[in-house]
Amino acid sequence: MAVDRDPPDVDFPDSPADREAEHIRYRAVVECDAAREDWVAALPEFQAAWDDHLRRYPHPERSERTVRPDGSWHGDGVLELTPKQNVEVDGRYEQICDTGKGVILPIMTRLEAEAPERHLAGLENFLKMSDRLKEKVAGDIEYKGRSAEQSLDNIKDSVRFTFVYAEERYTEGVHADCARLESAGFEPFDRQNSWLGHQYKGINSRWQEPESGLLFEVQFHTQASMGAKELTHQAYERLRGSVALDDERTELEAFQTTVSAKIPIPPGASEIKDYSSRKRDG
Amino acid sequence: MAEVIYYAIVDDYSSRDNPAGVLRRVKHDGGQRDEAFGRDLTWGHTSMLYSYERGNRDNDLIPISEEEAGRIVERIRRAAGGEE
Repeated sequence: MAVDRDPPDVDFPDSPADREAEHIRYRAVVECDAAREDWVAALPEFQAAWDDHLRRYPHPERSERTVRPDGSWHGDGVLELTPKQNVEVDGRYEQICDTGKGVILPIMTRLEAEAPERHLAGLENFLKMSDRLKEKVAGDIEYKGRSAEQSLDNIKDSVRFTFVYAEERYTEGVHADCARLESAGFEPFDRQNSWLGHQYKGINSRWQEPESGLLFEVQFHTQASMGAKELTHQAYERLRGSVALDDERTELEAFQTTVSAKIPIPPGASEIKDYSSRKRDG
Repeated sequence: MAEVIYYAIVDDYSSRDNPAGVLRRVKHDGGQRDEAFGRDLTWGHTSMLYSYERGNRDNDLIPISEEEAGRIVERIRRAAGGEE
């Protein structure tokens, strides 16, 4: 015997525009699910391609960095710091570490605890290595004519964090965490959406710790985009260094592009807006 | 036949109209390389564009014409010669 029931309590969109928007959102979810399966299936192939690359180009990623007896620092290629510049960067690096560990890290771990559906990844690397900082400063001196102090003021990722989300929670999660960062007192500096990029996918944002004025970076990733970043890290290191020759560089960029093309794009992620508080347009 | 793409390097102390430096990506049949024009007045390897492609925004890298790149190179040469 049939029993009369009320219809299930589901909100169906009323207007054609709302129905169209819901349809687009549903399609994006379905496509993202399919892309995630493709991504997982492609991982062994990517790893094999990278292993093959290492067999064909068996050289170290970068040349050695050294501090000479006179106190000067020598990095990859022509990059170098005088003894005075090297001391200046060491002093500033100590301050950066103090602020990173003592002020920013405790707030970031508190924010992480506010929502269990995502986490901070790679916390063991939240401070940039001092040699990498020195490479940036030496490059700025050589190619931009900057002083060590100006260069250090311009570097925005000496302290960096990465939030990782499930695809279906990504877009709302990024907005929620940006709001949390502001509520915690950090000032938004800029945000760069690279979800439609060819070499890399994700969102990188910069924030300012108000007491010290230190700028730091927060990246927003999914498991897949974070996995891609890790999978292509060695390729990126080889591209950055001066050891690889021109033919290998083309292959390294092609590898990054191939991996990046397979990353599932979370629904709505590509629409998250860029912003910048810099004035560089003359 | 090589294809060369030039970029103005703009950081927090410079502007689109007065860039801090100049970078080029050279693509040829045998591969590609990135170089920036240094204060030693030679083109040398740089990682800036690779970092930029990975979301780093310490610098903005703005595509420019070969003529504009030449003007930046000349400016750096003059500065190195004490004219600026």
